[in-house]
Amino acid sequence: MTRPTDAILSRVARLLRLRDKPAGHFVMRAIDVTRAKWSLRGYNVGRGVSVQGPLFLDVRGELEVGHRVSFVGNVLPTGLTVHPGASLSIGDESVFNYGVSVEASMRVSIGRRCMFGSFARVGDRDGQRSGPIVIGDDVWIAHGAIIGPGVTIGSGSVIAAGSVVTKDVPPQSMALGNPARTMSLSLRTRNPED
Amino acid sequence: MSYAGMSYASVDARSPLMLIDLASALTSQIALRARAKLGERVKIRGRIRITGGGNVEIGDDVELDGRWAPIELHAQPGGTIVIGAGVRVEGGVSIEAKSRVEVGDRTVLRGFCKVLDNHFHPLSGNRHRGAPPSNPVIIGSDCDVGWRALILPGGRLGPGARALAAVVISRKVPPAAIIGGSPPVLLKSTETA
Repeated sequence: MTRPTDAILSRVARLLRLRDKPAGHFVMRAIDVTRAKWSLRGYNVGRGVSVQGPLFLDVRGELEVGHRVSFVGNVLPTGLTVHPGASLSIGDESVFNYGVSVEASMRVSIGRRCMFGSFARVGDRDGQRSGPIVIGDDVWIAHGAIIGPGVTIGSGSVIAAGSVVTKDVPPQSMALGNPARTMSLSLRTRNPED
Repeated sequence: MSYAGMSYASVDARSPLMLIDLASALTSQIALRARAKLGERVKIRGRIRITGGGNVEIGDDVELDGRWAPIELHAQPGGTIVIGAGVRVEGGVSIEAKSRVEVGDRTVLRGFCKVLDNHFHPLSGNRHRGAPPSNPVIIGSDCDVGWRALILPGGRLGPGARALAAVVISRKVPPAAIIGGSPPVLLKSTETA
């Protein structure tokens, strides 16, 4: 599926509002899976991977994508960059919203069932420091969060929207702020009327 | 080759996809008129995405400038986005509503800021099952929401308040105050007790 064909197909689908209809959902899913097969051809990719909209790939190292991973790039494209000699692995059932940027110059490993909010950024080199990034399973990185080099994020943690993470985050915790501070996830219950 | 006179700057004349981009700009116009209640003299530029099937109401003299990056207005069924008169919305802005998001008159929403009234995923457990309760967001009139600012559920900006770039707000901000940072700090409070 070349880019012009893809662009025409997605415009037609949008005009027909296919995504809003139950039957259209299957058609869209088929298109997304086909698009994933095309744009991720040649890499180690699992079954049922779907890509909505464009996916910007600059892979000169190793890229590994698990089963049923989905990329949403309908508003702005998601970008995956892997430098020579580096590796990027993405676990099963992880979800990437639009505008996510993942850059690996050493090693970035993302666990299973992770969620990446829009404009999240994961980069293991920032011009000053560098170090491999390990993200555990079931991690939710919310909108606009930035994960710095050398950070390990434990399983089940939540990175709040807009945070900048520079230190390790323990499992089952919440990191928020710039620079991010961590707190226990179970303590975070707040009166919504606050 | 200069296309300065063209009102859709998202259309790149050198790209072979120019016609598709132009078509996209036109379909966003059509989509906007089909899916939103528009006031008078609404200025629409570039790409606007209205999704979700909820209510979107746009007041008079609103300027939506999605040339640089698309603007996303996502109202889910039962959700309402109300944009007041004279509001300017810059590129990359995203507003998501499950219950209600209100933007007051003459407010400026600067590039890539995001306003949402629901987190859409529970904090723990299966994060794709169910959503936490919504908390409406109300932005007053004459506000300024900065570049990449985030207004989270429960955020209320009083009239004339300024939210600086990259601020994360989930509480009430008094009128005419200036707030910035993450976690947010009240930099100037003009409220007299």
